[in-house]
Amino acid sequence: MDSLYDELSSVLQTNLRVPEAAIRPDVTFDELDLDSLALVELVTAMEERTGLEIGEELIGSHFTLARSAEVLSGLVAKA
Amino acid sequence: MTHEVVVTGLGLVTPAGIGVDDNWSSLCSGRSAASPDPALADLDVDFSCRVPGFDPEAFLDARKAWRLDRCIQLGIAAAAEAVKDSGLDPSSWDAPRVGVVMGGTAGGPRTWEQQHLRLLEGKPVSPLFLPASLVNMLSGEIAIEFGATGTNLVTSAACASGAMAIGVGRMLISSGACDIVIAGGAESGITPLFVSGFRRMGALSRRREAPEHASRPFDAGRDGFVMGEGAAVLILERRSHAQARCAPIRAAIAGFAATGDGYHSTTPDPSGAAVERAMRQALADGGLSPQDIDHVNAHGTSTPYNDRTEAAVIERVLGTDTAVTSTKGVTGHMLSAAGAAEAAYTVLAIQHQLVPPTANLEKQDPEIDVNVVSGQPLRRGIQAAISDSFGFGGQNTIVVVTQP
Repeated sequence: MDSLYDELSSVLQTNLRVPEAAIRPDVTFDELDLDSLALVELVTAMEERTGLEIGEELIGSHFTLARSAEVLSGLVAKA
Repeated sequence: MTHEVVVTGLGLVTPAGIGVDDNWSSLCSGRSAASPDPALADLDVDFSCRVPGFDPEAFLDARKAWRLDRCIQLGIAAAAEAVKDSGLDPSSWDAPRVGVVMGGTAGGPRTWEQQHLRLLEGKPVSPLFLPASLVNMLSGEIAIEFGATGTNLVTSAACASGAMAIGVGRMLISSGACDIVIAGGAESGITPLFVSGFRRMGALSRRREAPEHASRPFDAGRDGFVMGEGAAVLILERRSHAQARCAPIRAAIAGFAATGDGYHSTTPDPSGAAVERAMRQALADGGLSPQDIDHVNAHGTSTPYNDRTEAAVIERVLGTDTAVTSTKGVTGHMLSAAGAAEAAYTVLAIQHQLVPPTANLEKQDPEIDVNVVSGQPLRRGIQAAISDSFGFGGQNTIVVVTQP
């Protein structure tokens, strides 16, 4: 999970211009003020980085970053 | 009931600089902003007029800047300066009475080209690319940024778009629909595809050996326009509204007219009939006679055809005494932003009682008889002035600016 959390954090900062200080495991996408289009952008960027097929429905705006990283880890385990 | 319309704020983000003061000093210097452009290195027209050192994050929060095409970034930046200049406070204004009318044509061609490349490479396109770049987002995003919930639209009339926005904004106020209109234009289309289109039409200067001399309106050696980008915004306000809050008034927008050539998709009607009609209608709209017009900020693109037909109409309607300039010698052609920027420059000319020179005018075209200012700025009394703008499709606009 750690590496995927780091990837998420990196995409949030680099692609979505979220300030580093706002990124914590317990923060949700809603709290980061990421709307549905921004979440699609996040998923797209994560797919490009990880090679996973994530799908836009897998990550909800109410998810914390830690939970999202867990969901992604589950995908890695299945792959 | 019609209401008088005044200008209480200006914002300029152009190749002549960022901010009103930088723009005015660049214009008065008469030095062209054109320079070699690395983004166009593969083309045979490899120079342009870009906004120097534009940092969108100086005007927008980083996430918003990232989500928007440069065209909209430039528009918001110009609007920010104009709103600040007006002294209006968006947190307390009567939002439903504040409109936004912006001129735009291409929207965000750079974003489209980037996303199309992704599609060709088999990558998913960004879900944000349409809201980042559709041309209507120019007025939409300005409304979001400043909280303006009155009439909101984009005028599209090619190179007359920005002037058309001022005309429409003025109508919204004079009719009573709005008290304030954020009016202007923005364009950022210096991309290989967009520039190639103009190049293939034969519209661009090919003076690649000396880009700084390429934009030379009314000069005998002119050979086309130079691609520019930028944004300009004027805060238009009902005179009584501005007076009630004791706002400094820069100038009045006393008249406006728009006509169509109905002639050819890109070539202006050689008779100039529709341009002449626009000029006469705009003067009548402002209650002015031809001899009242002390200064003309010409469309003056530096194309052989435009400058000659435009000068002939100016001479026919206004004579040869009025002081004509084309600020495109300095700025290049900002397309949809041009008409708004040039209306703003006309406001500044009236405030300073100074006509900026036409850059690169060394030997005036012998077939052009109007009084074109060159070399140094010309000091003269300016009570009333006009700004001409014409677009492909034969769209002609004349904005009349007078002392407050």
